[in-house]
Amino acid sequence: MEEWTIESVPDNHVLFVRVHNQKLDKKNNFLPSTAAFKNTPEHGPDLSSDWSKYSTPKQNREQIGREYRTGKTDFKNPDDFYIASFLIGDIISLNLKQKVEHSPRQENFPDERVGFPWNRAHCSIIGDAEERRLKMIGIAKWEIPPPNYNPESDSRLFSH
Amino acid sequence: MNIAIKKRNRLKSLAIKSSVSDKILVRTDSDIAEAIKISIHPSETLSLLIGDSTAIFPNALSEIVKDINESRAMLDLEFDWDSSGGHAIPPKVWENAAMFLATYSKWIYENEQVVLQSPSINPVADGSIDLTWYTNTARMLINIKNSDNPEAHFYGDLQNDESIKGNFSIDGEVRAYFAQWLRKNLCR
Repeated sequence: MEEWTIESVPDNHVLFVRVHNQKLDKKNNFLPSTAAFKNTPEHGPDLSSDWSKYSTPKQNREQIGREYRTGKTDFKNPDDFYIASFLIGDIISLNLKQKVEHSPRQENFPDERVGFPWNRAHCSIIGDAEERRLKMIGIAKWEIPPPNYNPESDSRLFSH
Repeated sequence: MNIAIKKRNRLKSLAIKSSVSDKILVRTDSDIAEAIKISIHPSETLSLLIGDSTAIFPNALSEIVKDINESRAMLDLEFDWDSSGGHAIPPKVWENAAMFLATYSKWIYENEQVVLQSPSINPVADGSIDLTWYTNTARMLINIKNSDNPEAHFYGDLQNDESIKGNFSIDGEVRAYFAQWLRKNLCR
């Protein structure tokens, strides 16, 4: 196993972002809430995502089940999460000095530890503001939606 | 006459049915001591206990009162509630969010006789709270910060790309420019 290099991510590729079931907007057709796209305190200042070059929505969800919960040695439950996707170009075009960087994870290389799985697909969505979080709702697409989401009732009028 | 309600999921129907009495609404069976009291008075007002204060609302704002009340459930979230290290929501942050909504919805109703739509009220992993509105023509996100100095950071825009963003302290004062934006774009 070699250390993975950082690659450039093309605008026409897709990012997958996990959405915990506590971060659904029940008043808004079970779309992700704006809280879903707040940067995660667990992994530093940026929003984590997985690049479609090295992952699929299904793989993204399975990866969750190999991770420890924060500060614990029990695993996260993949069933607690749903998967949203974004076209990278759509994120960049939010006009917010928004950046997407490939940031593959190989903690403790070359020895992968239980609970801290490596992830070649990992990307960071850099930049955090209310504007970015609100606009991300307009461009998010469900790949693995919550059961209560009704695509027929999806009345998002903003496309960015 | 008071009616004790021990199931949160019964709140909505009972609140609608009981139009002449005071009600004590209890979040869980074991949580009676923290009961929230909503009273409907002959003068058609609602009162809601927020921290040590009681906010009085005109009956026209019953939806926003109900949503504020139900959002109190987020105070039950413990550390790591999102399996990713999410912080618990401090009661003071919830009180700031609730008082913010109370202050602006009442000001708009009393000054403009229109009702502010009720927002989505959601916890955020850093211990802050998001208030979010979507209408056919406008959207707005206000984040009530988890900080020593209570602050609201906001961004809103219209379909024609006109936008508003900034921040201000939550101090009980109404920022007229902000209230007018809410009145113009998020009221019915």
